[in-house]
Amino acid sequence: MFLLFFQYKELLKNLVLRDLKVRYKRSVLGVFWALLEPLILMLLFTVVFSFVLRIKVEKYPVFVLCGLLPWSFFSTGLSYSSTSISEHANLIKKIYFPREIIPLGVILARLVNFLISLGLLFIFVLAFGVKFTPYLIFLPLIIALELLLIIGLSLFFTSLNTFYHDVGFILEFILFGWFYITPVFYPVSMVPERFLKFYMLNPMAVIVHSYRRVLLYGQPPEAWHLFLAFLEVLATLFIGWAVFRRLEYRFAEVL
Amino acid sequence: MGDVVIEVKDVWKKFRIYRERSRMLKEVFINLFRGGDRYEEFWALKGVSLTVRRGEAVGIIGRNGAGKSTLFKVMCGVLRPERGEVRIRGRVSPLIELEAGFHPELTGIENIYLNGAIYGMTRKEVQEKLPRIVEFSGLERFIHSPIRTYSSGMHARLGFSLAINVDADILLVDEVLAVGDAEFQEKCYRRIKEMRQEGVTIVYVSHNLNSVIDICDRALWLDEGEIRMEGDPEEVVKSYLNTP
Repeated sequence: MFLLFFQYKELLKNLVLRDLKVRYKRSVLGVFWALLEPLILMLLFTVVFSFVLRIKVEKYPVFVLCGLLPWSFFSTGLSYSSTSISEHANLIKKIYFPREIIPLGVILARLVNFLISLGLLFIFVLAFGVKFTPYLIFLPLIIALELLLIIGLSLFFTSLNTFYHDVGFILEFILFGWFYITPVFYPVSMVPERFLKFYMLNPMAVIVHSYRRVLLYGQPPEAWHLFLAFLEVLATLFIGWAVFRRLEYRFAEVL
Repeated sequence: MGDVVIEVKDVWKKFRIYRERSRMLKEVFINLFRGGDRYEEFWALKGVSLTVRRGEAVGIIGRNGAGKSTLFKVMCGVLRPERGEVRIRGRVSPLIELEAGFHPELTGIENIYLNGAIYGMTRKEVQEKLPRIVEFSGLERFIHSPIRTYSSGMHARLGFSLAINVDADILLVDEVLAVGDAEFQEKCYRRIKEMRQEGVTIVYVSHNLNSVIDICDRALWLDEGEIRMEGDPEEVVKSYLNTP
């Protein structure tokens, strides 16, 4: 699959560029929405969880932003890509190219968006007086892990969704639930000890937690959890790709 | 005679015709993993074989639903046959309704780059060909406007102009000459003949029998998924027309 990246990098690049261009066309603020969106969410979450529900976390705005950004990369990556094959029915039915390119393009566009918003996070981290540590070198690793997780899940959901749009609705609910079992607006330390083992089986919990450790707490990611998440991501990729491979040759027939 | 560039060997293609569109998800999952039988099967191609040599121009004719487009899509790699083999040597450029990859919000130029990439062209290649593509389309004045402002004829012009300027070894044409105005059609027609002279291999699917006779060295008559006749275009067209 990674050969594909290379062979079709031109097409991939074009699709990513198009996605970015088109997403913000006809909006006055344009690409600033990539920054504005998380900023608004951050404000809302801070009001709700810091002032109303009073979750006791220091520097809550930057804490929650640190969870929101990876989460929205994950959720928009999955939900946008899941409909991408159907949206490109015209192309799929008429010309051959590896079908993976389409969802991959959407996900990579989300990655660019995420990286831009990370810049915003960096500013906030500094503004709240957090010092960066050398553990920042783990950041690319965590991003790569999240990217692979999204790709694996996306291949699975996108191929099924192309046949049955019910999958798209189901995915919404899965994401809704998944949001709550991921430490986006609350810290991992609030999870009861006896559940923690199971809680950390969720790769997104590990990923979000790792972002925070590296960016906010100046700690390295927990090696054992990260390794476990890595194995899960590999399994997801494998399953996702196998399902996609099995179904892709019929995309042109059902669209 | 050149070497073989397209080899279609005993190809069978089946479609499923579902009686009902909306089915239970449970049923669907059972079918997915076990292969269910709640649909009718329809064989669009029944053991079609075809060999095309380098530089040849082969026409495919037949009634609606005879399997022409299916054969075409199998050759493009869009559809995978249930049985049989398809071997293609060289770069294929399918000429179809090429607005396929266009995005309405992007300009003509941006769309050329995007579609060029879909055809497997690099940015540099597109850049080099850009003047020719734009000139061929005759859309110089509109090329920097979003193509949602284009008419459908203009879409077709742009798509065709791009596809026909891909340096392809094999050109697959499916009934595209029906688009655009008479003048543009004539231009495309001339260009296809020119490419033939240049040694490009052509597979030409059309209802326009005169153009098949004009362009092709050989014709293939498809009937209900099988090859009914193959040979000299004029003869094949004649028997096709004389069969009720």
